[in-house]
Amino acid sequence: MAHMPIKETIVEKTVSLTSFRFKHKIWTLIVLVVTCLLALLFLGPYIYLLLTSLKPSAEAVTAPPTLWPSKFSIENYRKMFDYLPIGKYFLNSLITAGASTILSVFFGAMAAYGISRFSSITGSYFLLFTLVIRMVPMISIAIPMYMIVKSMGLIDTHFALILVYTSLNVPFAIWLMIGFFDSVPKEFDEAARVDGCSWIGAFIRIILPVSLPGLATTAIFTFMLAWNDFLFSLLMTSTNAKTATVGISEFLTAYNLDLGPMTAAAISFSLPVMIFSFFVQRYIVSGMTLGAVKE
Amino acid sequence: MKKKGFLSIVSLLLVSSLFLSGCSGEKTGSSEANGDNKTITVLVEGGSPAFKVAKETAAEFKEETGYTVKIESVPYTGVYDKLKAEVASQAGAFDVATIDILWFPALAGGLLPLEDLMTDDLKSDLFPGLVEGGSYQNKVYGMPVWTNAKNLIYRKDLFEDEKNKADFQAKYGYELHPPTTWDEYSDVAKFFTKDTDNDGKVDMYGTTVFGANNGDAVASWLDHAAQAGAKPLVVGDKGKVLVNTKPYVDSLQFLVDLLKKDQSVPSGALEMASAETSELFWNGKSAMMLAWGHFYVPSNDSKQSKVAGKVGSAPMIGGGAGIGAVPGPWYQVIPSSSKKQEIAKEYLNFIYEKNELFMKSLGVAARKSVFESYSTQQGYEHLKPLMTTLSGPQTQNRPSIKEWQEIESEALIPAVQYALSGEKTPQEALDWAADVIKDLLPPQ
Amino acid sequence: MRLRNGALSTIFFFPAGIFMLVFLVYPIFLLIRDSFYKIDIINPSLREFVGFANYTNSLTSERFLKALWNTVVYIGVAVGFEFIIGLILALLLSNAFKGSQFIRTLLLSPLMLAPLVTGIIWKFMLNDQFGIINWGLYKLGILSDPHQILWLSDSRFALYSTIIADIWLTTPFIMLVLLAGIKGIPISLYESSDMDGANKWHKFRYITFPSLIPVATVALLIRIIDAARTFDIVWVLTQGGPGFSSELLSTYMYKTLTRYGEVGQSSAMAVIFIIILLVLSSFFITKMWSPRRRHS
Repeated sequence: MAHMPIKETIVEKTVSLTSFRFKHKIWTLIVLVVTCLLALLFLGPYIYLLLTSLKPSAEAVTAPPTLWPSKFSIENYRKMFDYLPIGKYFLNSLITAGASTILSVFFGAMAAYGISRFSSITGSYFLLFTLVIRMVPMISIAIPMYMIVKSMGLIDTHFALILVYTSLNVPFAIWLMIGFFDSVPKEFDEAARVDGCSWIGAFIRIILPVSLPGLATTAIFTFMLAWNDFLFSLLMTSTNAKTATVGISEFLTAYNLDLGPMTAAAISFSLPVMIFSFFVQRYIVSGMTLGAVKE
Repeated sequence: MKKKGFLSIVSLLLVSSLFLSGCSGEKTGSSEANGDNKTITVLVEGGSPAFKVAKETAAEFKEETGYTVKIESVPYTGVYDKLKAEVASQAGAFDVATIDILWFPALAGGLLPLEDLMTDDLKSDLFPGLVEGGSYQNKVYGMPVWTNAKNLIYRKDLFEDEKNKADFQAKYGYELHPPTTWDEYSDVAKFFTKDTDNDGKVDMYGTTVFGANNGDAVASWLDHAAQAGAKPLVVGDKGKVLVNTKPYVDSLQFLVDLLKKDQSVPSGALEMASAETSELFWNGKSAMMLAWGHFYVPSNDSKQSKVAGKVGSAPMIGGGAGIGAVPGPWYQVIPSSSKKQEIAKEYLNFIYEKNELFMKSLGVAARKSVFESYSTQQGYEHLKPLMTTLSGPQTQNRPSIKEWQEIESEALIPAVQYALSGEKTPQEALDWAADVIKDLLPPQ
Repeated sequence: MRLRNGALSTIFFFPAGIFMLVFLVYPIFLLIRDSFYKIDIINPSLREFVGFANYTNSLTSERFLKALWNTVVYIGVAVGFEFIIGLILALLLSNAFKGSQFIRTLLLSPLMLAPLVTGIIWKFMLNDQFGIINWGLYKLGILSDPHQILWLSDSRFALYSTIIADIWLTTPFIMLVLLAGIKGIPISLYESSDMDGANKWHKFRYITFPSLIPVATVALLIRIIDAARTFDIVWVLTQGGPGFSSELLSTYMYKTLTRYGEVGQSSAMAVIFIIILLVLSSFFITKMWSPRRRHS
């Protein structure tokens, strides 16, 4: 909460430090224009997807193609609900991706902190080990993983996907968090240790809060990796825990591609993540606190 | 200190939960094995006719047998991937699955033979080659649910237009009619390819050529190879590779000519397969298409097609050896790991009796009797031509060998694409393919 | 002290390690074992030990080497562009102007879509008949014919078309990681350089860039590994075609494993793949590795 005012004063300070206010304005304008152009380029396909989802169903694929709908229609969205229990699939995606994100970020951060701080030979080997694991092509280990889950009797449960996603994302979280922990000054832990914290206490009370930007970034990406997974959800779920990616892909059948309802589902599918990341990424801004504390 | 305790408790919980759930899981597994829960699990492609029929009939099956039908739907390739995992793990996750004919050789090892279901009565009501298509090494593993083949679907309004008729007569010296031979097909395709809005760009095509990176393109080319006299397809007796012989080269040349010489098809043939072709046709951008028979139904549905009501259907075109096509039937199978094989067999018979439902939802079925009773009904005008195609002298299945998928992706798809893109001549492309196939087949 | 640190890092690593051990290490063990066997497609329990035959088969096959080369090109071009564009975007967005947070969220939109869906959308956008891209370029007068560029079906372009989709999909990842890195640079560093009268380029060259190196190294490393494993997008867009021109190791391994049922062969390919990836990323690993040693 206290971050915002700090940020503002810093911005003001920078402004006052610049002697040529006019030059500064021009610079801001250039930045704004270039950013908007690039953003538009990246948004293009998404906008196309959005507009397609709002077309009448038969208009989704036309030759020559059209961008703007001839009339706006929610037919595709209605069809989407008719075809599949898409609400349930969304909920499944949310549960599995959410829970696995919390687990993998927490355990990943712990492991990364251990490696970053007590960087012994052991830690280095852990890191290398983690890296090699991340290099394994998913498809090559998918069937053995299926068998493990099967032998645990967890097929078609949320728990199975949570465990699998956590395992897949932990190496990723470790590697991403290491960079952030390395940039947190050692003095922080030492100060905490002097105050009588245990190592783990220091980690949870001091290091984690200070690394919030890193945690948030890692959380966004682990969430998305789980949210977007197709292979494991396909293999390990059937009716109970099936996630939305597999559901959406069912619009693609052997004989035809029902692009209209699929785009509607894709847009609906992206909204929760959009909202989630909008809130989570605010913490990245609070990386400013680091500098502020040092002052 | 407190935190440390908390953490170790969390990790303890986590580890023990792994073991605990392992135990409880085994328990549920064993109860399934005893078969005392009255459900059967059916694996189908989501949104497919098999999915719809399974859903529509679940209540009735429960009433008849007391078994609840649990429908598991996955995307097209997902059916194969999941069954493959099932065969590898023998987990007993499914009791019935509906599969594409292409997958038999790869899955046969994990499927239950169904000889006892194949009564003479049942066999006599099926199209030729249908039982054989669901077999592998002389054992029947599949109960047919529907069969299909590519047919000619065309714009009736354009073919009946008086001006078109007169122009065509003047140019080619014979009457305009749905083509029955390669030459007629090329002529008609050339005739209808034009620039309708005079902007210097062709925006109406005669037909399409399939060259996309999937089995559809191979099946489409093999249709023509069969018409030119190829029999059997691709691999002959004792593993003899036939793919660079005359019928194959001629048929590939035929497609290359449509694309390069006549330019009567869209230039992006390498992106073209069933879905793209039908979209183009429905948008009124092509005069004909060689498409799976049932595409006639959506072509006349105004919700999907802009040319609804103006569409006709005719049998597949014929080559030197007559009409020929590669059928694309689907089958129901029972994994041998199923713990409820008896009730699964009952389900197969139950669905077989309901074969008519596939006709209603898709526009094709497996039983001759269903085809015959529907062929006179309005909206099913494609059935008579389709029956002609299916009983064509050269209509035959792709070879049922375990190397088929590898031959298709490693040799045939690239060969078709090399020829269509002009990188190689048809003869060069197929000589290359023949070499690749020789390496893939076991030494004789 | 060393022992104590080793023990501490083990404790911290333990929970994450358990997950990896159960779900990843064991399957990897199976993978390595299978790579030395020839396994029957119909009956997987029929297996024959063949030593390194699967490895030599792969390494001597033109098909494999072509897929390997394509993968290297894919990694180089995709990650290169992603890093440059991502860095530019991160620098632009680090200027806290009005609406920057909003734009940042919008920029993340590619990440909200499953790669599979992304593949389908790009496939339609790049199609020569129904595609909005060729049509748009034609209307803008850049192309003289809407069917001029066959993005996905011309063997010269297919690989690069899949790379374009990948750049679109994952640049936001690099952008966000670098942005977080920039935000983590202490303001005081910039303030003191303001006093010295440094210009923007100097600030970037001597403050921003060096401070970003640790985060950037990790981001690059992760992206290289993930780019090498890219599967969904390429599979949906081209399935490796036309004529293997966009075949990556990942799609080739998938075909070998699931389509052709050659478990042994594909396992050997996976092991070779991992080794090559280790070599490719060794530069970054040593970069990460050496400071660790220095501490202890």
